[in-house]
Amino acid sequence: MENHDAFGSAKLPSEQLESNLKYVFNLFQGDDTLRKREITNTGKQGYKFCLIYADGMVDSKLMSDNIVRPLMRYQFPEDCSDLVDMVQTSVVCANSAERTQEVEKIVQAIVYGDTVLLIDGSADVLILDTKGWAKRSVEEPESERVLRGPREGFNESLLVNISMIRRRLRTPDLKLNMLTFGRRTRTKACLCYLDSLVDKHVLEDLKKRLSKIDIDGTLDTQYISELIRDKPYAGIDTIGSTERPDVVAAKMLEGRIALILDGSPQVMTVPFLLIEAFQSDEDYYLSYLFSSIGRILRIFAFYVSISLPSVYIAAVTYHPEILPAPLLISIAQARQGVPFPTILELVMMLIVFELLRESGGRMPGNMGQTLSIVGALVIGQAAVEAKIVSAPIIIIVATTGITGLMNQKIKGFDIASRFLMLAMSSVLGLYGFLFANIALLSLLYQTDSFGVPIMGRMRMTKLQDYKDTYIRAPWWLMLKRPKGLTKNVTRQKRSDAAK
Amino acid sequence: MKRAVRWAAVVLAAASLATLTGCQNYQEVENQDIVVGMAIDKGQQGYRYHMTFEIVDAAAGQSDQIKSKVLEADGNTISDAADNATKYADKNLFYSDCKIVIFSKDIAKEGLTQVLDWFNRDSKPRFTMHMYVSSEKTAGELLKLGQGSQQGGQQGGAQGGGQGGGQGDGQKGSQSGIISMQIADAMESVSTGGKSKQLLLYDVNNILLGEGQDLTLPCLQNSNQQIQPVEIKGTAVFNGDKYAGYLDDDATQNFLLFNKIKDSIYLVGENPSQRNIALEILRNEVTVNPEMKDGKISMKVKVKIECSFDEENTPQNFLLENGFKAVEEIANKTLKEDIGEIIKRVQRDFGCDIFGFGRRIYQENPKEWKKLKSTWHQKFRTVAVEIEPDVTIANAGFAKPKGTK
Repeated sequence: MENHDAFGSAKLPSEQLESNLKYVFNLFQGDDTLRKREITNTGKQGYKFCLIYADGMVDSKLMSDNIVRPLMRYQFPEDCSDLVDMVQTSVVCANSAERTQEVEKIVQAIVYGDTVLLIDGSADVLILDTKGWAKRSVEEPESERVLRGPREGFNESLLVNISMIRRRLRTPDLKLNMLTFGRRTRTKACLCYLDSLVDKHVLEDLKKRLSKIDIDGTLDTQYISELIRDKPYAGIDTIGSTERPDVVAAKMLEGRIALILDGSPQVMTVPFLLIEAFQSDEDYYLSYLFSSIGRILRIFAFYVSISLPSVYIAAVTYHPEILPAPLLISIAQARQGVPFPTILELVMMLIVFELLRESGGRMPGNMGQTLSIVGALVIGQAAVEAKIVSAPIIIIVATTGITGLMNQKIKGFDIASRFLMLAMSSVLGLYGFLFANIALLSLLYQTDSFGVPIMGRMRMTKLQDYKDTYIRAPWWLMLKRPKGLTKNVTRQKRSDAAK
Repeated sequence: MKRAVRWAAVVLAAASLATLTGCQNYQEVENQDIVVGMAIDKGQQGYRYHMTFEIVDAAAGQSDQIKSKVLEADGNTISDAADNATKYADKNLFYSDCKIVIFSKDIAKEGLTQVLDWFNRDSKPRFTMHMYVSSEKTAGELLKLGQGSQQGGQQGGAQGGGQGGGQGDGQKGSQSGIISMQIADAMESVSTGGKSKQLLLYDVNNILLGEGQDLTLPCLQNSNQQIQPVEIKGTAVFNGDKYAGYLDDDATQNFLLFNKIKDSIYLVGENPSQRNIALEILRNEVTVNPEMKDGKISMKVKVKIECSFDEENTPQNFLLENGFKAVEEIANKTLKEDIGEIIKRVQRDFGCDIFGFGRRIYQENPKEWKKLKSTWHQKFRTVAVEIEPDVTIANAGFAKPKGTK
């Protein structure tokens, strides 16, 4: 396998500034953004320095004020045995200045926005922290808006993201392990967990799987997530993902592990329970009653969105006797003159809905209105009036679509299982619908996420196990952490004073 | 390879399961004619049965009102006739939403058991279909009355400026043009009001297959009205499964006191010709206790009625002047006369045990019933009946007496 960026333990070739400079520029041949800044100290000795950095990646004010100026003006003493040490400790004003000879480190520093300081007469160089590239400010994430609760969302900078987590978990128990992914991208990542809560087996397992990744680039956590997940073909997510630091902190407090990847605002968390797809961070910031209703609705909506079309097709084409007579008659009336069989109508309209959804997501905001007019009028009304589809189909598809949009996190699984159920009930009626249900349930129940069943532990016998599943129990009742995620289960001690 | 074989095995197993279900009949709703009512008459031209089907005319229903059409077919058995009907319909007949079955008197006289066999055996018709006997010459003509009212409605609409379906105004539901649904809806309200008794297919089965009770079925007749062309009137009395006679409306109402009824108005009065006090029955209970002494059978019938004082259509204030006790006494007297009369009449005219006296004997003394069973219809005529009426008036509906300010 060719390996572009590995320099192993290669070191700078000489103590001559000129030749070192040439060597480094050679490495970056063809990269015209690499800059050098040659400096000669105004002192008697006339020491020569050279700064190498990538244009646009560094904070230029910091460079000129804290590095260039001191290097020019500093009055070095007569007797200067170790010039590099002198510069490192007394001259440059950077947050960090690392002394090294390794080419690998030098290259990584330059591409990550640090500056390399070459000093004439020494094979050692200093890597100065001058990172100053432009990054997005901290904003509220578009995909996870809330009415109440923190508005902060992750951005693309690893360090900013780590800082947001650290500010929420102010304890040395918070462990942050840095990793690197991608042979070419060299993407930095950070594994975060609370040491006393995390399940060591899960942590070992995760680390093992992460170490096996050998890919040229990781631009988003989804790359990693798909590479390490259990049951990759099942289509159901077994790894959580969020853009909100408060969510990550809450999940870590339940014993989960988070992985932050530089360049991605999506932070992944493991292990993942299916119920997390129906949980929203807002659930915990609003009244428990309201949150519980919302959560039950979300679960109900998910089931409706996967099963409504197949129940309709089964009832209308296989078991019309289960429909009340007036409803059956009105469906029969609506179907008069429609040229396609019901199943084709339904599949067609479901696909049209997915088309609308997809184009809605891709199109610039100001064109949304056009889309809704086309969607509502052309598809809804005109298709019915032109007798291409019957009116009940529109109702079924619209209900399916709306309920499907409620649970964005398992959208893919939603659509796939909806069409599976539809296929089954269009050949076997309600019988097929039941088969599809059994198939889905057995798939869900045999899927694990890092050794934890995503449907939760089967032996959920105590009320305490249900406090944060179908409902969100009031905080004074949430005494324990969710089962199966951590061995350290006590979340709060029951104190009568608190209540 | 091994994996592929295993997958193939799973797919084959699943595919063969599919053939075991009997659920593979994918059928579009518009390709089925929804039967809402059936009428069975004696056949013509050598056939034994003539059947009339009322089916929903979905294609005609572009307006709000749903219309129906009528289909007729002959056959030597019920299933034969039903099968022949599909020849005239361009689609399959769908029986699961059939609401009513009407038998002509001639069919009822021949006996219902043979007719009901197909309804009980076939998987399509439901056990909740209402059963009726036609008081008209044939049963089929009642279903055809609906067609007349639809046309009348259309004409009325056209005259009224072409607004919608015309006749639909003021009627409930959008199925008002469908006569079978009209009858079924009317039955729901009439039977709770105690004017008639709703009998479903399984009720009929229970009576025919049970011991010691004869069947009654509500009767339908032409009302000669536009809006509700068919009315439920009177009761057909059966001897076993064969039609034996007819009870008119008043007799029907008295007979129905034997059933649990609710919200029914019961008129009482000091003399039978002048019944001007209306009682609304809240709860009623009839207990029949058979007594046998020296081979003589007598029945003790306790009729317990709890009612509210609903109306007194008199210039005086009878209730205030005489009190509840007096009204109850009058009511008891009227009730005793009514019940006595209906029992006597049925004993005399038909000899059919529609009150279920025989069933009570069977329940109390099955051994005795075995002996009585074969001759019960003769014995029933001579059964002595002792009636114990017990009317309680729960309230008078007025906080202040009538006429006071």
